[in-house]
Amino acid sequence: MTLSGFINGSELPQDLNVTVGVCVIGSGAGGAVAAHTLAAAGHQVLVVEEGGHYTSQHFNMQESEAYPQLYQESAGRTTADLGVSILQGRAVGGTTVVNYTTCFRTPVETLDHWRIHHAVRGLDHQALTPHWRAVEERLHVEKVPADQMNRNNRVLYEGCEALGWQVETTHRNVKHCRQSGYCGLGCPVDAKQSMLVTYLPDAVALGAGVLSRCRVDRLIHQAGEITALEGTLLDVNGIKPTGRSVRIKAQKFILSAGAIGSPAVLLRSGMDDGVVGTRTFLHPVVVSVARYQAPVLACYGAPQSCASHQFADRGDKTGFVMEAVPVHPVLMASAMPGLGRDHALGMQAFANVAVHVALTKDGFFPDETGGTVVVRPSGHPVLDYAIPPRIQEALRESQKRMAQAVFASGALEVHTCHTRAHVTRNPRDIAGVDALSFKPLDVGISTAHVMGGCRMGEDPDDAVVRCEDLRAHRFKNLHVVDGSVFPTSLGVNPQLSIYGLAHLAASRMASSWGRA
Amino acid sequence: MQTDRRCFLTRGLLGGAVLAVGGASLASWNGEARFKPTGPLEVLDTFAFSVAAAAAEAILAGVACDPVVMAHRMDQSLAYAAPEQQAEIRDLTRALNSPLLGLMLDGRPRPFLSLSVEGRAAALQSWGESRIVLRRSGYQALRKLAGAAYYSDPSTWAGIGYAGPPLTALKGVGR
Repeated sequence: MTLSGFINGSELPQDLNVTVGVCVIGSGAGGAVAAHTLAAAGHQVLVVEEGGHYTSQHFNMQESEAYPQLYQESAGRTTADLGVSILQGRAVGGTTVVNYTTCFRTPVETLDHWRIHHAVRGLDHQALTPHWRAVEERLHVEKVPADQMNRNNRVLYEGCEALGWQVETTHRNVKHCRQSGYCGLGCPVDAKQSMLVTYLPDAVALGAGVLSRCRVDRLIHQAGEITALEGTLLDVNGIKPTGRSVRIKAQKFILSAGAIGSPAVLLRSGMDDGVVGTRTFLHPVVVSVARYQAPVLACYGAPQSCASHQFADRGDKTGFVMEAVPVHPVLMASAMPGLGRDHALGMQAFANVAVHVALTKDGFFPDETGGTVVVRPSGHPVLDYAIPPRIQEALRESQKRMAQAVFASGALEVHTCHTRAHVTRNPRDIAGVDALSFKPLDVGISTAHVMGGCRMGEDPDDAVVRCEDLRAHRFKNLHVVDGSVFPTSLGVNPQLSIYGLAHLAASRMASSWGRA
Repeated sequence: MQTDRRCFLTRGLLGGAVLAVGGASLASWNGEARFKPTGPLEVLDTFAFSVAAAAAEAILAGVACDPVVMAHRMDQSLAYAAPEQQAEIRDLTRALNSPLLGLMLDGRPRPFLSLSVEGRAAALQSWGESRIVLRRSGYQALRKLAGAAYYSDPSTWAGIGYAGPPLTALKGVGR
């Protein structure tokens, strides 16, 4: 059979047993860029992806369809104790299909921290800049004009400005954006320049194949070399095996299954070296729900178009970055506390609420060791992530600062998302938040950013991959190219950091391997 | 330490031992008969389904809905969860209904399924504020599943002032 183009694994009538040049596991931000770069160098590339191949033809902006189609565990993924909700993509194009299009280059402070504390060498702004530029050009990454902010972003922006806090519009990877507001449910008009409509079709045009609905069970290895991949084809909904298996031999393997999926593949393959699956970070957030007199309609318009880094550096305390997030009925129902009539009344404010979060920068202090990926007997991974007191302090402080910002832009009241609702109606009462618990399950905590678990570094006893080209220390034909290689969280939305690093690493692979 | 933690987690969030207490021995009260599935189930068994529906009725008491329809949607969304998590949800419904656990932990010697809507809401609220992590987890799981089951339906959106996605405006014109 032909192994080029988009191949739907759920429809394959027989087992697949093939040999290719490069096998890429995962089609998100890391895998798609790597696949394209290596296909452009003449390599025969096959991308395998557990998710389905959905396009704008399928995207109808309804949560009931987008979550099962495009998200891990139908958007129900959580940490082991259910304490943190994890929004993570599962589709051809990975999380880039459902992210909010926010693009930041990796902060200088983060790269410096990695160099000083995690033996990361050769990755500074100078080395990464040409790769960011290449990706930014392909993905049309441009700064949002201030007049394109929706009201949900504008109230945060204006509140920060009124308080004299740093705030700016962000960069987005969109082209001819129609401002629908449904980035999180799959862009209905292909304006979002996700991997689905950029690097993946680019790679396919160069002869690459993308096999969807293929779950990777394990890598077979011998004497420090990966010899084959074994996988299972899944049905049209990605739930049950079709009964067909996959075995792929390749000269090179690139693992890009994300910061939960990549460690899980290694753990299932018996490649646990004590480092794999550890130091997983989340940018955990609590949600601030502010009610205004006039409609906000946070469901419409570019969902994320400004950010405040005012509290990104809090000295010896954990920093955070404030942003807006969109509101859809199921998302809001999940966030709003209470039962019965109380919950229903809260939901009736749907059109008039502004919703904000603050990305907590986890992983920069010694007592922030992050989470651990565990593989359960069924083979499904789960992340165990505790919220240490230091992060609880940052969550509490961010809750107060977000309340300050919205009161400064005219909010009538601000709700936290604690099990028992807490409402502040006067900015003088914000200190009431100090009495609340910020432990998981006392307050709703969530994330859309998973990082770490296969960290890079030059010390083979403390890192999974080396920095130069993200090659595994212990396996000579395996590279890990995704957000799992970050030694800490980033402090900014991760997609551009993953693209840039993937572009750098794959370019170096292409150079050192030569043209195929 | 880390290995111990991994072993613990691979056995599952709810472990199993604590749930052996009580079980479904007193389960067959009137609620189970009232909340019967109307079609095939993906993840829940009929008993777990009845508890899920009874919980949904209390969680969604502020709106008009059919708890059996809600429980079917909750069951369908659980099909995407890991098998261990699916088993935990089934165990959770047994723990929630258990009169023995209710007596020991809440002074409530009656099965969840036999309680009024208000009684079920109070039981769920006590789970949400329990000192026991597993109870708080269970509360959040049921609350989110029921909320998603209801608000994913476009017919509910007018009630919250949501006009829905601009499908015609975006899809009805040339790209």
